[in-house]
Amino acid sequence: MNNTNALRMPESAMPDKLSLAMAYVPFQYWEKPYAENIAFSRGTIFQSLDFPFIGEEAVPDENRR
Amino acid sequence: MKTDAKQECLLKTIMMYSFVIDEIALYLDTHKTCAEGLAYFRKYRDLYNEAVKKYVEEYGPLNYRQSKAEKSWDWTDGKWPWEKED
Repeated sequence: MNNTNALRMPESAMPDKLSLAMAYVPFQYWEKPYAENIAFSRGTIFQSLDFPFIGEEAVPDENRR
Repeated sequence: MKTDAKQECLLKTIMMYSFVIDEIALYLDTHKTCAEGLAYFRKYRDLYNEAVKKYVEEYGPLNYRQSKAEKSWDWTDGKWPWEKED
């Protein structure tokens, strides 16, 4: 698709009703990126994509073996 | 050729610019006409090219395509990446 007009929101970006059995990825919007040295250590320029792996802290104590 | 702190620092800067360019390229793949994204790419593309130009002039080629190759094959003159001062 080579639409050259302004940033057109794809219709599927924000479906009002999500349907069963179909995966859905929200459309990403621009945000002010991290400074490049921060981005380099965080592994992304976008804060909203900054998902550090937190490993076992994510598991409540009682469930831990 | 001893790798001095200035060289290390410039190399790290090149790596940082290279990383953010890869990141914004991924974003622009799905946001072709995003003005802020395009401006961000242009900014770091220019910074990256400048830093590489400076590095190559001062410390030699980063890849063999940048070799001067006038009197000798200068690509293999510098230290190998694994040759670190202990």
